[in-house]
Amino acid sequence: MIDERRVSPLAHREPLHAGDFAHLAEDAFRGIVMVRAAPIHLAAPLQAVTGRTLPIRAGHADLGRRCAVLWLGPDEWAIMTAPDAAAQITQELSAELTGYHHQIVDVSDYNTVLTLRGSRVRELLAKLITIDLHPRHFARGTGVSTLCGKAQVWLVCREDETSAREPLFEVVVRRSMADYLWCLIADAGREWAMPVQDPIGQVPLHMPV
Amino acid sequence: MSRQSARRAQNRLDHGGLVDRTRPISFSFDGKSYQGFAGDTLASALLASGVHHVARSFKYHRPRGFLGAGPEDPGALVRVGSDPATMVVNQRATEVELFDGLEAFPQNCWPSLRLDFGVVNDLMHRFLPAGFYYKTFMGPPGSWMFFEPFIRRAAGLGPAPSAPDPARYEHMNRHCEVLVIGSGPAGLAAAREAARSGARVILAEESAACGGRLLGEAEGDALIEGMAPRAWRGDVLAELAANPEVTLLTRTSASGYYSQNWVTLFENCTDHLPPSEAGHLPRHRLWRVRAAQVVLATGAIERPLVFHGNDRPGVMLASAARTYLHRYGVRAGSNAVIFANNDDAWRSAFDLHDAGAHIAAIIDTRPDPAAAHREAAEAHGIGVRTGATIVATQGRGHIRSIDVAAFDAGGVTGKPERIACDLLCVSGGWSPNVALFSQSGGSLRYDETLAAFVPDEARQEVVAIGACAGDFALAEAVSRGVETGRTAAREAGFVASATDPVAGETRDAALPYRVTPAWELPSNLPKTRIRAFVDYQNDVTAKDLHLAVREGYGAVEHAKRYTTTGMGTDQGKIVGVNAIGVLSGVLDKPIGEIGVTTYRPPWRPISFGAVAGQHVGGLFHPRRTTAMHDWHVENGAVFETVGDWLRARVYPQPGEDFEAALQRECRAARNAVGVLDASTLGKIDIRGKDARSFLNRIYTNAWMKLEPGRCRYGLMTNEDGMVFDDGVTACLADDHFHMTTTTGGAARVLGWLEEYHQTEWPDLEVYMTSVTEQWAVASICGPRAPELAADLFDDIDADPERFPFMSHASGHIDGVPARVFRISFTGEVSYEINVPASYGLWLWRTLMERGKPYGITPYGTEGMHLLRAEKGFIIVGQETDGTLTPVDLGMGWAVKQSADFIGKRSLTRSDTARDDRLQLVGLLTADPGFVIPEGSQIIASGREQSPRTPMIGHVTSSYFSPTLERSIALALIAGGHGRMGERIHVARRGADPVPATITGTDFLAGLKEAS
Repeated sequence: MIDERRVSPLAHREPLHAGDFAHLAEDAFRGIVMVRAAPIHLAAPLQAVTGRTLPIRAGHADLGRRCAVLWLGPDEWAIMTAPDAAAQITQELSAELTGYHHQIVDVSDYNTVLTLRGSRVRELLAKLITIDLHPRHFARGTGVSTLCGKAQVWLVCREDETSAREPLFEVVVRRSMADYLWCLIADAGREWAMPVQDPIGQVPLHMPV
Repeated sequence: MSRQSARRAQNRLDHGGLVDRTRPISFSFDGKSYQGFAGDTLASALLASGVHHVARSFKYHRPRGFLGAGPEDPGALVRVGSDPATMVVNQRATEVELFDGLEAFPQNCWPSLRLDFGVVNDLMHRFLPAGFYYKTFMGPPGSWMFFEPFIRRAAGLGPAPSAPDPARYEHMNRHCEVLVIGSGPAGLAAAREAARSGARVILAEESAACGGRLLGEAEGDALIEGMAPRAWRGDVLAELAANPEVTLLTRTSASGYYSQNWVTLFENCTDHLPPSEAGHLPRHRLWRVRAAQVVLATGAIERPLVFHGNDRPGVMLASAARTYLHRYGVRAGSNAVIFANNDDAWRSAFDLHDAGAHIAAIIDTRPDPAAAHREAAEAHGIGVRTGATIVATQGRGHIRSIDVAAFDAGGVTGKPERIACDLLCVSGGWSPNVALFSQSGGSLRYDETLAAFVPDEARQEVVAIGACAGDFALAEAVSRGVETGRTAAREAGFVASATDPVAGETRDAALPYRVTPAWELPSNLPKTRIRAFVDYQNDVTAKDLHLAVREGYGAVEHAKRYTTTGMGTDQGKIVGVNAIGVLSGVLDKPIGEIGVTTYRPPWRPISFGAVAGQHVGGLFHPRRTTAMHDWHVENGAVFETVGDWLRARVYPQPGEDFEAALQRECRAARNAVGVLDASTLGKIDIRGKDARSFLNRIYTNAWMKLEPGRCRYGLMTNEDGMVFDDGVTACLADDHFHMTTTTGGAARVLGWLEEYHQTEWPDLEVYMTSVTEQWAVASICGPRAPELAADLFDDIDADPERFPFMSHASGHIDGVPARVFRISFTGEVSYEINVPASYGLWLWRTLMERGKPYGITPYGTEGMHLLRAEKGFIIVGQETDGTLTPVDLGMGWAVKQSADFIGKRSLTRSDTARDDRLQLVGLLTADPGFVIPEGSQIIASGREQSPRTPMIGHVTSSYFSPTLERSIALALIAGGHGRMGERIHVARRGADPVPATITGTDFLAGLKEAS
């Protein structure tokens, strides 16, 4: 149960659809934990706590149903998990890593997750992202940190439980930029008639003269 | 069809070409209605109706028609549309595709296309020599001032749209193994072969249809792999279209070739459609392609000849005449003269003849055209003149006749003979289109046989094939295409299975290409009267190039700029080699030694919209919003941007102006409770056994003894000893800290920490991770803040005695976890309350509700600035500008002597130790009601005499203080710390200086002493 007092960064948006071509939605309140440690210290504890294998190469990820681990740097990973699971993972992993140099930070509230499904999602994202999104180079099980428009994001490609044909793309973005990114992605979907979205940041400015 | 419009389409053939005669299209040009067919360009449709004169040239306003049939055309520029927002100017009529309702207009002429007063420039041409513009700089004093308004008015061609562009634009980022540019026979063959390997192939074609010259030439008995060329083209295109790894882009030109095989493609998505059919497509797309291998099949561009009177409407490239004939089913004239220096152009005579035109003459500058051609001409009954040139042409808006005469190296030898004609097809030979190869960094080589520059050594993974590589014969173009397509795919790691069908015979219908250059042709006129155009858009004649050489601008890059040769919107596509040829003649140097001017992107003009893509208007840049943003908006806040963040500046209530709101908010913070959304401050979690030592090296002050539970203010300096960020850092545990930074400095500081850790001190065990947005922060301050805090916290003792200043505690508010810092930026008792960001809006609403009995008032960044100025706290970026040390800011107390830190040594340099540096002080004006404008300069007295009054400092912050009920200011003044109590003056523009007294920076301290 999500505490009703919590408000997700895109609570003011409704899911958007562009035929079967692209669907955009917020997957709010996901648990996200940043982990920094030496891989040699982290691999076993991570396996013990999450059941995932530590990815040790750029762009690699171990994406489980409940828990996913993204490689972000030689000593930096993100664990993406269910809304209620971050605190427990933080606690258990900290306990396992006692005695080793490490840092574990719950950043669930820092970020939100946008999900994209549909037959033209790779094309849509290619309007905003410069990395190679061809299935040969960005298959299910890939996760990277990159730029989407002018927002820094993690982009994950994974199995979609609702579709055998098309993968599910998750875009993890910091909350302050979530609305900008939502509107930018909707704009990239205009080609397939995704509805226009006006950014909430477009308020009049009263700048010092 | 009315009789009139039937007559208008006089030059349309009954069959042939790619136009769809079942789909007539109505359009207008210059206010008159015409009809064309689907598949026409504006140029082909106008030519079908016998219209040649469509534009005026840039400088002399001479009539211009269609010299080319595609992107190379220099002169036929028109405006499309009349809407002030969507009209586009300088469009090439040879590329504008017809759609129903298209409206096109001539430009650069007044009052009309036929009667243009700008022609006066033409009559004055002797007084408007090459480099006129530059000469006005050097001429008699004041020349430029005199001529500038005229030159400015003449600049540009069409007018700019006057309303915002409503169109959408996009980028598309793509990676591929093989990018093929150009879809002639060579490009098609290369793309097909590469695609058969399974590699990703992008094929970009600039025009509306693939095929290149296959579409512009008669098929004759030519064969490609045993098939008629157009049938072969159809098969290849079908194969490519069926391959999901192939992206086939028409109306897409490669605009720029950059390093690491990064190529931009400019796609026109909707310009060729009536607005009702554009749907949701963007108008233009800029494809940004990273290709493992690039194959350039960009073809060749025919050159005109340089002779007197070569620029009249009705003068057309020989190849363009064939393109209009075979691609559009339009015969560009009924009585044609062909004038060439090569065998290829003769085809135009035979093709036009076959299409029913009379050929008045074939004139060849060479004494020895191909025998087969001469026989064919004789068989067709066409008169041929060899070793001859055109010495003059006649006809104002359209060519009427030419004068032809024999010539040799000494000049014209025979008596000119006049021949009537309505079309003059010219050809000075073909230049491989090497623009992109050159942009890629590849070198060019002058080929004497082809009389043209060809690609030489490549610098990137790029291969030129077909006519682009100088292989003008069909068989070579196709076989090189096949081979290159395979090689390129293989280089990228893809090999086709060996089941490709055996190719049939490929043979050309044309004779082998032979050319003898004739760069500048003689006339029987006096030299000063010869006007042989080299650049048809910018009106550069051969004579101008001669003048450039005489005036010392003979180097090719100088001559180009001095005369503006090739600097028009066509970027000299047909000009380049002719200009070099003329220079070679004047300088008497081989062409290869003269070299070429640099080819730069873009290959063709592209829209700014395509460059900007989606990133305009509301999507131009992220505006970061806090968790409390909705509340600020609902409660009338006005915003400012701080870094990328939107921050509430003040919250004016109905009927209240900015200043009144500001004063009210600040009074509330001093007298009751104020609350500030401080979520935007940078926050960094720092952890590791060496975290403390790390902080001690980063900050100027001491950190070794800060106990868990306590906070400390810290200053960061860069290596030069200059302050670049500040903030409070809390000790959570002996090896765990929570750092805060300025809002705008958050990313910079994290980068700074990582850089120092990774490059200088990798031995320190410390990790840092940004937590800026994990926490939403509401900072409450004021005399009644402790009461509110006590109400609020479940399990934190809010009493300021037991929860002292500069300490922190973790606990809960209504069960929500919170971290509270007892730190202050206002001088009042403060509680900085951090909750997980998703609770931010809830926290804010809770505070507003529970704070009501205490008079809680939200204050914005302006109030925050004022309150801290009263207390004399600095804002990095407002008081500081990257040139101030902690000592300059009066914060020497924050500089430790005990240990090293970044910037320490710089603080003892003789310059940083000077005592007359700018130093931060307070200012109190003699008139307490006068608020000094921020940024004002400070002078020593009110009666400075010297015209260069020495400025001794400037004002950094200035407000009317509601607490002191008078104005206050912070200022940087030379040697200010030693000048307390001194009277200085603040300079004002257009008014007397204002006297003020130097004080300390903490104005509240002064208040306390006084009370």
